[in-house]
Formats: sequence, structure tokens, C-alpha cells
Amino acid sequence: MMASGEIRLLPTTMRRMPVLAQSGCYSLCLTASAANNAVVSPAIPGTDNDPAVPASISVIGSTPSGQLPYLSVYTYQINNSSGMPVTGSGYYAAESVTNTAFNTNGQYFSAPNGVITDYVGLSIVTVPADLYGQTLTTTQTYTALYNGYFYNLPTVLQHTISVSSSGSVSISVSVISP
Amino acid sequence: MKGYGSYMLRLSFVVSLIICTLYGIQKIQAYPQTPIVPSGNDKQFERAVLKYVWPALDYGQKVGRIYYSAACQPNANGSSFFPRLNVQPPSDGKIGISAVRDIFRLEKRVSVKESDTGVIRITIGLVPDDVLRVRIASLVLTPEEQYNYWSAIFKIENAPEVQNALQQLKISATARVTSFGIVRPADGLPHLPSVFTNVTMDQALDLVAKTFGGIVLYTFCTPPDQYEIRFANAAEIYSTQ
Repeated sequence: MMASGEIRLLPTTMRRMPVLAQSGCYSLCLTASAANNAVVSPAIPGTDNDPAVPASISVIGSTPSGQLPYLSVYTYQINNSSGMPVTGSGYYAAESVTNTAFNTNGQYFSAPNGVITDYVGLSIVTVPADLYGQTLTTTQTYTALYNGYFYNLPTVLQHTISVSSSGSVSISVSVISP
Repeated sequence: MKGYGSYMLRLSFVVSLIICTLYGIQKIQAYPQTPIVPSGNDKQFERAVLKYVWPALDYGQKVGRIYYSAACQPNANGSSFFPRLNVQPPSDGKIGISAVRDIFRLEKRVSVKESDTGVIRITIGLVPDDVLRVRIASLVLTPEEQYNYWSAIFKIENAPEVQNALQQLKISATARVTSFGIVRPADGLPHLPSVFTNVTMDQALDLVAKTFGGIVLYTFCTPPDQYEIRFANAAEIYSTQ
């Protein structure tokens, strides 16, 4: 049996692994859409119970970014099918996030020990009055890459940025599914 | 041996020809084959234009900048209204500034120039650039800011000189919803120097585009007077989101 959401890496130029270690996306960039369009592989023996195989994501913490006042650094943990954190090197993850102007959709970042770092919030120093009283929500999913295979993780995260009527901002990220 | 050498020479020529032909076909096919539909939303329209520009910039090997003015969009999830442009594929085999000029050959509003440093600048309409000309005396980047373009852009935008100028000019940055991943500093990865010294904001952004192999866009929108800086690379340009 194949692990949920598992996708087989096609033997094409997408296999150019060094690209994955770079922050930007260059001429042979791997995108989440490319991953999503990849052909689902036949079952891979031994992966079902392999504790190294990514299966879900959980939110493990957040801190202020120290860079912009309304930007927080969230850390997520890739877990295996038993809900335990994966460990070791060789993990990469790419976000797919909706309703954001600034993002890194489709770009794979190294996630040592399955830990993903994500900056969430607003790209400003002062909140404009037209945002007062607004709540902005976005949804985010991840595709993990490990050992040459893509895993479309089913976990859906929701970012909520609430601006009060007085202009104070609160940022939260929660798992909304599953 | 002479005959063998001649055979190998001919063979290598044929192989080279095949490779060049295939490469040429690949490049031609890289440009969109269908016209841009003006009814698309601004994000789609901007991406449609970038899909012409990106191959002309040799997929990030050449440094590109785009400047345009627009009406502000009161939506923190979106971006400014992108001008509707009549763009065309460049002539076969062209790359670099000649290709970019070809793309916009039917557009009187667009100017394309290449700087001494090899940066290809595409300017759409009249774009106020007071902010970009602000000179930054010294800016120290953290390792994270050195290795991540969004972090670097935010750092540049928040340089004290830039913030002071924004206050004086009564210009603000657009408020945008943000979510971006972070690459951890490591040997061999593209990164900026740890210090910028005596550079304009525009020059600092050139360096971001060059270092991370992308296009840095600058938008000035009104009303109110606002600016926005974005970074587009292959993932952004070909994103389905």
C-alpha cells in the first residue's frame, strides 16, 4: 500500500535535486504545481510503516519576527503516519498558500528534522486605517519531499490576521483539517 | 587515423547542430503561444507578461527589474492593478535586452534600458522613483536576511534612511498579507553580502534580483501615494495560485 498523498518523482529534469537546496527558484525550479501534476506511483514497498515518511503537519510554536512588527515566525513539524515527528536530514517542504500577495509558493526549503519555518503576517510597519476592523484569512498546505518522493500532506493550516478597530494586530495559525 | 578524425569532426558537427536545433526549439516554445486575454485579473495579467519576459531574461540568468505606476487596490491579499499591455513574442533566437525590447515593441508606454551593470530595466509609464533614489549609508544584514530575498527586501525597505524619506514624502508601503518560507544559511547557497554600504535603495534591490535570480518589481500606486516591491522568480511566475 502506498502512503497517503504520496507521489512518485518522475524521471525528468524535475529530478535535479541541487535546485531544491537553493532559496530561490532558478531555471529548473521545482514548483508545487509540478509536484501536484506528477504521476502517482505504484506502491513502494515498506513505506507504509516507515517512520521517516511524511504524513502530516502540526504547529509547534511562534515568535515575533524581530524584523517587522506584524510579522511572526511560525514553526511547523512534519509528522509521520503515527503522528510522531520525523527526524534527520533530507526533508524539504514547499508551501501552497492562498490569498497572499507575498509568498514562496512552490519553492522547496530544507526542513531539517522535519521542522518548517514560515513567516506569517503583514508586510508593513504601520497599519493603514482601511485595515482596521478587518480579519484576513488564508489557507496553507504543504508538499514534502523526502528521499526522492513528493508527499502532498493533507493538513490544512489557516492563517488568521485580525486587525482590531483600534489598529492592533493579532496573528494566529491553526490546523483546520484534518 | 585522418579518416577517423574527419568522421569524428563531422559527427560532432551533426550532434552540435541537433543540440542547437533542439535548444532553439525549446527556447521558441518557452514563450507563450497564445495572446494575453485582457479580461484576466491583475495577478494573472502580470504573470502573463512575466511569462514573456522571463525567457527573454534567460530564466533568471540576466537581471531584470520592472517599474510601473498603477491605481492602488484596496485589498491586502492582492497586488496593484497591472497595466494592460500589448506584448509579443520576441524574434527567434533573441535574448537579453533585444528580446525584451521586442516583447514590448508595440507599446509606446514602455521603455527598456540596460544599465552599465547589466540590469535590464522595464519601465511602464511614468513611475515616481523618489523612494528608490534614497541612499542608504550602511545596512547590516543578518545571515537570514543575506540568504532570503523577502527578508532582504523588508530589511532594505526598513532602512532608517528609507523610512525617513517615506515620512517626508508622505508615501507608505502597501499592506500585504505575507507567508514565506526561510532557507537556512549554508555554504554554496546564493546570498547577499553582510553589509550594504552607500547604495541607493534601487541599487540594493538590483543586488537582490541578481543574487537570487529573479525579477524585482516596483509599483507606485495612487491614491494614496504608496509603493510596493515584489520578487518574481520561476515559482511565482508559473504558480497556479
